[in-house]
Amino acid sequence: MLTVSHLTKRYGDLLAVDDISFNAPEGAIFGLLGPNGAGKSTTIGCINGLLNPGSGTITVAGIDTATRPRDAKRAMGVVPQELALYEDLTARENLQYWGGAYGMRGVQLNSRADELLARIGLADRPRDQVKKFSGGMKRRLNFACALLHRPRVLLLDEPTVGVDPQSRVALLELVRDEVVQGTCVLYTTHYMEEAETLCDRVGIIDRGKLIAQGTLGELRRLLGERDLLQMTGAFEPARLAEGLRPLADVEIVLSTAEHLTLALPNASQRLPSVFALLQVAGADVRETTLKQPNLESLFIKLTGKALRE
Amino acid sequence: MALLLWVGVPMVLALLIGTISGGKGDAKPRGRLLVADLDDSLASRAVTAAFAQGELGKMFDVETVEVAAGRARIHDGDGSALIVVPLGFGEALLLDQPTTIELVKNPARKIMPRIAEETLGLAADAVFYAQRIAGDSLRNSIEAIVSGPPAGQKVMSAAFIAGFSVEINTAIERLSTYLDPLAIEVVKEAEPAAAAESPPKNFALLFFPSMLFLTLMFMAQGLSEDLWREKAMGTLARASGTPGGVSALVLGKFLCSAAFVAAIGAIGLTYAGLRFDFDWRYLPLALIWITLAGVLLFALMMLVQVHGKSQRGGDLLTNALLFPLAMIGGAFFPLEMMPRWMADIGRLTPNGWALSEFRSILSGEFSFAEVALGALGIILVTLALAWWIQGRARTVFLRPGA
Ligand SMILES: Nc1ncnc2c1ncn2[C@@H]1O[C@H](COP(=O)(O)OP(=O)(O)OP(=O)(O)O)[C@@H](O)[C@H]1O
Ligand SMILES: [Mg+2]
Repeated sequence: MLTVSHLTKRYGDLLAVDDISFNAPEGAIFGLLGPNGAGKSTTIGCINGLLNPGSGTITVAGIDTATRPRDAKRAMGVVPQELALYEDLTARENLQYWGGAYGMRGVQLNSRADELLARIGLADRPRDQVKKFSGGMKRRLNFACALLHRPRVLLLDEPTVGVDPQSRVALLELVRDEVVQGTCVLYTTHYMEEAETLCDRVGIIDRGKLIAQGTLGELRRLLGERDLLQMTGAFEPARLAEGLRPLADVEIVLSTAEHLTLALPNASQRLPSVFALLQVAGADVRETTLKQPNLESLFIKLTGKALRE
Repeated sequence: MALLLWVGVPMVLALLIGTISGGKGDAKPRGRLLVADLDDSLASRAVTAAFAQGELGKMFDVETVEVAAGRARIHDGDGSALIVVPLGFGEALLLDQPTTIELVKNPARKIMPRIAEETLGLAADAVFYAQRIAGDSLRNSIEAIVSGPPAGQKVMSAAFIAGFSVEINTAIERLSTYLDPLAIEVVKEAEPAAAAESPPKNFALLFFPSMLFLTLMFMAQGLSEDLWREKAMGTLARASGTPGGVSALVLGKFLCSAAFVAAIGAIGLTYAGLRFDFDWRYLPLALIWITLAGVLLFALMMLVQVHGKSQRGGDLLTNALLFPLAMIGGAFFPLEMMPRWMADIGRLTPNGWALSEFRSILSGEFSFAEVALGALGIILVTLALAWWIQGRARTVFLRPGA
């Protein structure tokens, strides 16, 4: 439903999106998981026409965004990362305005606006100016403004950032409603839990590169059911590889003078032997964290750094 | 609120001028004006020169005289009025001290002294505020902008820019002093007992179009800031994702501005039609003309805005454009009352040209062919500007660096 192939986008010297390809099916949520500055918003901008892609092709519902931008835009709904609302207008007027921008008019537009007001829980305040709304209410309205014209592809750019837990649940509920109706959703986030609980497929993006993608199961298998053992202290990187050789299934993910990260199966039962070997290799461990395999540990394994730094 | 201000200030001026210059007119009479300029400064010459220009020049013969001789001649009924500009007049203006111009009217005559009185009041005020607007600090600021930031400094300091906007604002505030009768007092002597006559419509024709244009220019400038607001709200970026894109939004802004201008123009012209007895037949054409001209001014301001680096920069640039254009283009002070060479330059500005054409339409002294050609020109230029603006708005303006 949404196909991106070999998308590249530069800002001057900075390669913000580097040869990204993925395919998001209909009736499902494709998550784009990555830290700040990974290139998520840039990817969405290229898809919805805010930015000119440097190279690569994008099709939305079979329509090439480069050759038929108007038709492609008609098939898409975008929820921008930052609020984009007219604060002096009411919730209903905002909905009508954006519906109008997609060519909707009259009764059809009004009834759709009322339906959405009810769905986002603002039916009792249709005549209040948006500036009188709470942050969460504005977020929900910001979301609904993309739904007026029943887009077949919905682009959501970190829609839950800065939203209280209750509004967040309500928002995610709205997203699932859309998916049930067959909408294809591209969902960007830097919350690992959100990607894990909400998305059917996930692409992990870092520094403009899509470093892994697949269903959650596929991604977990990439990690090989191994736990991550993160340690801080004083290490001698040069001696570690030799020192840890007796444990054949241990992989050194990250190794510096202060940090060491290892990936190994059944780490919890094997801590004593790991520490014994590390001591021999001249390491002084001060702090240890053990992580079960999840997207975060996959991210660490792939990039050598934590998702949220 | 801001809209009220742009529309309000010039409108109040227009109303005031309307009130003092009054309604229906006669055929042009001709008068002899005696001037005794004791000061002989730039300012005093500007005041007296007002009588020799354009429409007024057709009404008056100006003659320079000695004070005593002038008084004697008025006493003998020779000449419409005597103007005495005191020594130190120009200096007083510069130092912001109250000063007085003496007007001795001929009690035997009616209309001409009255015209002289009104022109004198307006001219004195105009000199006053022209002086003040181009007061030292503002002049320095403008010079600084023209000559660029001081050596070793990449951009103007924030303090400088803040200071400059304050200057601009105070300059606008001073405009209201323009209406303060205490600033320059015209002392009346020998007021004839006769009831006030209706001054001719030439006055309305002189000042009403200028005021309307000033209103439009303020309005165009104010409306042109809108794109920055849309950008800050994120709605501009959002609009770029809709089928019509940013171009549709820009088109909407143009239609909106046209509606605004037409509404203000309709109100102004209806008022003028009732108050000054303009010929109603010409008002519809005048409305069309002023609407087109207003949208053209809006397009110019928008074009400057979309080339600004920030909202503050855009505002600064449009204001730096607005005031000189309004000044030289006859929106503050009618072209007809300027020295000829200045008026000739003024007519080359888009607003000055549109204003003179507007005035001829109102007076009925115009050729349809010329107006039609002018209108076509405005439309074509506006379309070209709109095209340029939308192209810029959806690229560099919307996402600098991308
Ligand atoms: N207009 C721009 N000009 C120059 N560089 C930009 C511009 N917009 C984004 N970038 C850079 O491109 C990279 C990707 O930015 P992008 O906004 O796509 O990240 P993101 O994944 O959405 O991050 P976040 O989670 O913070 O929203 C960043 O390094 C950013 O600094
Ligand atoms: Mg982003």
